Amino acid sequence: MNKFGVGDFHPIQCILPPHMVDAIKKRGDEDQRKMAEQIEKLTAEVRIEREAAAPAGAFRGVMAMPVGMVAQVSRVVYDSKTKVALPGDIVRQEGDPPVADPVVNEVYDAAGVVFDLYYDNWRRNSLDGAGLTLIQTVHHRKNFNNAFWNGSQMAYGDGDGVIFSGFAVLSVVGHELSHGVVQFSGGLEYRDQAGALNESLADVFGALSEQYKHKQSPAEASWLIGAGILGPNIQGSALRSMKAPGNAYNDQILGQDPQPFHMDLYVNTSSDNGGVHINSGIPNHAFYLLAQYLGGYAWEKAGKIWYDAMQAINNPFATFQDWADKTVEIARTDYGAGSMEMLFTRRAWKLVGIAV
Amino acid sequence: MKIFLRTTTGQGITLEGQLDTADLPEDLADRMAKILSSRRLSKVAQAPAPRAMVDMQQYELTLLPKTSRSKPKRFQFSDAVAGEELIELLDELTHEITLQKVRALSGG
Repeated sequence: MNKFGVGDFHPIQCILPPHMVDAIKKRGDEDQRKMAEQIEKLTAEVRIEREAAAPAGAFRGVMAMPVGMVAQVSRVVYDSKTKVALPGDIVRQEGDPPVADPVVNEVYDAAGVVFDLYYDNWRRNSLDGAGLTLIQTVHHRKNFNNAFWNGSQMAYGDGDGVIFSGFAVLSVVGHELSHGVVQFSGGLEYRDQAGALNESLADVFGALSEQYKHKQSPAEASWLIGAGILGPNIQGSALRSMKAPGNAYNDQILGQDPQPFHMDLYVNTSSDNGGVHINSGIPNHAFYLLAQYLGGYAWEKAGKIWYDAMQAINNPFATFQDWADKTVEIARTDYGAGSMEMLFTRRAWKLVGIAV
Repeated sequence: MKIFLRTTTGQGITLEGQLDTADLPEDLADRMAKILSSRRLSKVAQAPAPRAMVDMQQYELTLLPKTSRSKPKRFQFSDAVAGEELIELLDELTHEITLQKVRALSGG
């Protein structure tokens, strides 16, 4: 029982987005309006309680859901039918049975896995910690070789059939949803090293989503982002490899995977927002190394260190050095000074050229 | 009308190539000539991009000169500011560039 006298988190309380609450208040009948007002009041109280729980001066990001409260995933999948406008038509909502379109079912199921990864391990109730509905649009645009998070929803193209055959795979869904987690955890500017950290965090938790689903150890995992989405004649295995950055593809049309694994190979460029998809290879590889050193499942210790650092960094312009420092500090706080976890975290960074 | 287009997908993949309306299907060439005016592209390229738009597709589009006396005009922008009609056209042009490359590689 929480302070609001509710045993479980009421699904509507934590799921309904503010614009829907506003709409109910404007257009609902008297009972519905009362319910909407109550939701608004409870949401505000939860926010105040969450902020009050943070120590003075600490980053007031997303707090773990208190024990005793139960969160429930809320998913909506839309089909934009190759059009540009978002979100499109609703094709599957939470609790609906599978539909005939496998792409719809794939992103629906994948979003559930990602929700579980964050909730089961770190008691995070969706991207914003407050039950945000996971909105996804499939079949976005014609021949669209991309997937993205636009600040409030995900969208996936079907690929052009030549270079890409679609983007509806778990590691990509986990990547895009994790951009939302980064955003609601204080955010990282989408430029240069902070942007590359943003990309790397999306890759780390995208990879962990896949490992969590299949209960894979670091040694068993592929550490590939976007495995299986390249076109049939493209020479490569995925978009990126955390295990071997720079080796995901080498193709006559795509060129060679440009990711470095070490600071000595850092790419200074003005394109791609300062190489956010390129230099993310460096922190990606540091995480991969740490997961290998620590053994067990990667989400248990390495993932926890990275997740806690994301909640604590409180610096949207963080550099790789800032991030490395924070992860070592978290490992020391969580596991003790001189612990294997702390020493291995430091060692993983050293091997990619960052001394802590 | 000739253009050089470089498309960087939100996953960091870059595709680039030159296109000439003379080599394109008539409908696509017509829309390209209509939509890709220097005035319109200037407005798009100057529009402020909203924040929190990660993994957005980005474009570098150069209108190549018709004569040796004129200069190329280069514009950079992303999906966040491009608008529906321009995005649809750029998707088609990017696909044309891919098909060009496939044809070149297969000797066609």
